[in-house]
Amino acid sequence: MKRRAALLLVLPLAGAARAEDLSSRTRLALHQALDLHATEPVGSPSLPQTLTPQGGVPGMSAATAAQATQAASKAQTEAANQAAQDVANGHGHGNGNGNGNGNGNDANDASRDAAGQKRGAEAKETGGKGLSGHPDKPGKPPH
Amino acid sequence: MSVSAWILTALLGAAPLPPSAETHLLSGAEAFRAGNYTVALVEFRVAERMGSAEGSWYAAASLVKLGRAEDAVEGFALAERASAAAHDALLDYYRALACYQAREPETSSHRSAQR
Repeated sequence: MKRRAALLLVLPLAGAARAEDLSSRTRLALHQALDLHATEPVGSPSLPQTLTPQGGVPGMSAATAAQATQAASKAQTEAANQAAQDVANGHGHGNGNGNGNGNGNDANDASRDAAGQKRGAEAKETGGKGLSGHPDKPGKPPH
Repeated sequence: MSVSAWILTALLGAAPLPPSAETHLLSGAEAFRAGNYTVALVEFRVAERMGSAEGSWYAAASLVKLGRAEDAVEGFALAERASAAAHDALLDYYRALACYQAREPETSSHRSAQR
């Protein structure tokens, strides 16, 4: 009778202990699985726009980019000067206003002055129109 | 009842149990560990249907890894409602990830609307 009572007592306890053991094992396995993949990136990361390089060729360093900008600016100035020279020499109008950087504005003014002076000199020689570099306006007669 | 009958009963009690919710949780954990998140999700869902409170939490974590952030957020909310005690800090981390990912498209659309 005592043995039976002992067995009745032990069996549920053993069962409960076994269940508890499996549960902790399962919990540990679940925890390890999640922990293993916790730091992996999920999907494609979307970087904010501010982190991506703005303009320029990807991989180009700041120094190279500055150098390229300087070279472009120099070329633009040269082109503007050339155009001014052409206008001054009467080879055409040119287009040296250097959009954006303003580098060509001085050259453009210079070309305009040069053209005006040239026309003024011509007018003087022919005794006709003005001295001020504005060939369309009537000039003062020479004293 | 004889002693042999009691021994037989004890042996039967020690016999392996039929597949339970915990078996599916273990299978899900193995699949998750191996990176098979779809299989893990199925196993955790089965465990959930069999009455495991943990199943809901881990199913939601699998959804995070599958990139289904909005479903995961919903899953975590349901799991919390069903059994708030069945989670740990790691599951909270996955939940935070889900919330962040679910918020991202909204943020980017907000950014584009501002431009």
